[in-house]
Amino acid sequence: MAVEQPMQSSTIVDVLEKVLDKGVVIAGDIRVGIADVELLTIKIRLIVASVDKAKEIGMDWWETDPYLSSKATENNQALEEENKKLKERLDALESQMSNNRWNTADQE
Amino acid sequence: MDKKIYLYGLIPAAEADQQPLPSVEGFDGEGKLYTFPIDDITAVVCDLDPNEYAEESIEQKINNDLEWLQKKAFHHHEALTLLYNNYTVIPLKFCTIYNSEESLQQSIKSNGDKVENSFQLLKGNEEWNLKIYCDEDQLKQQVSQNNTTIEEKRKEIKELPPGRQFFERKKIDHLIEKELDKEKDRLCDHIHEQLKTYAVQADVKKNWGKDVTGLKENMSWNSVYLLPVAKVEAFLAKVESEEKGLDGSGLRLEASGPWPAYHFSSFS
Repeated sequence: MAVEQPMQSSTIVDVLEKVLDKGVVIAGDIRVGIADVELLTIKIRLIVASVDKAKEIGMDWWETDPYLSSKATENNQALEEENKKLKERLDALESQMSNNRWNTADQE
Repeated sequence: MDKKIYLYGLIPAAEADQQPLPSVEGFDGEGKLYTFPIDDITAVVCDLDPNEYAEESIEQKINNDLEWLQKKAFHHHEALTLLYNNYTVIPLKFCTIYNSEESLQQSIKSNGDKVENSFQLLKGNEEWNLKIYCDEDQLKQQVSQNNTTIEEKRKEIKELPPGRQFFERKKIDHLIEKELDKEKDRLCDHIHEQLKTYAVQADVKKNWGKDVTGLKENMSWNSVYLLPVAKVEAFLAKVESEEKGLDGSGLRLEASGPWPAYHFSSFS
């Protein structure tokens, strides 16, 4: 027998069943009708399952794709920053080198 | 327009006074949960922007923005779990929202007796769920071998000419299906009757389809129990022993809890 501890590992289905229950909020001033608790639960479960599955098989590339994820944009910014710094160092080195060349040319 | 108030749950003021509210982020991800005393009852609430959380826009979001619904439903449940761990709490349904402080106050005051009764009912009791899943192929095998109605029918058929035997066998398959459902109900019902004796209150709920649960087995039973804390252990032991007794039948019992008492604390 499996005893589940909802505090640690509530499944989506259980939680949605508990908090949405009959589908209409009757307490409070606003009356929210929920079209179809079952259908919503199915859809949410499928979304979660497909994300988990994708992670499992390493198909979470969209998390690093700047067009799809803000996290990736953050990474990109860091990369751009690093790129800029490297370019500056390269420029500095190159101009130093060409100075050195002039110097050696003078000596000849 | 006034700010709106999202109501998570109600706790007895005496308990709220003894222990400060843990810090929890509000429904909109900006504000925080805070307590709002109304006589002997303390409401745990957060503020909402009235324009952003109009009735139509919430309904629209719940039914169409699944990511939002998933995130917010979990937020609601997590906040209530935290309250449940610290106080006796009446959990409210997802998206219970009032248009003003006055309206909330009025609503709680006019339901004061009900709330008080609910507190009394919940104190010292826990809400537990039981779901029974059935591997139908396995149970079918058992039914097909051990059912006297089916056994008799089989004997009858043996006496028939071969041509008729074919059609009569089809009928037996149909009979097995029917007996399977009967047997499933009988077993689940029996388990429920046993478990009910531990509970202050018990209810049978709707079974969910396979596409909802995402499981291979069918859900055959879904019930909820309000158990005195002292009886929880015995209840779980009973669940375990019932399951052992059903070995080979294809039935699997799954108890979950304790839950904030979403089921046993109706407030309005």
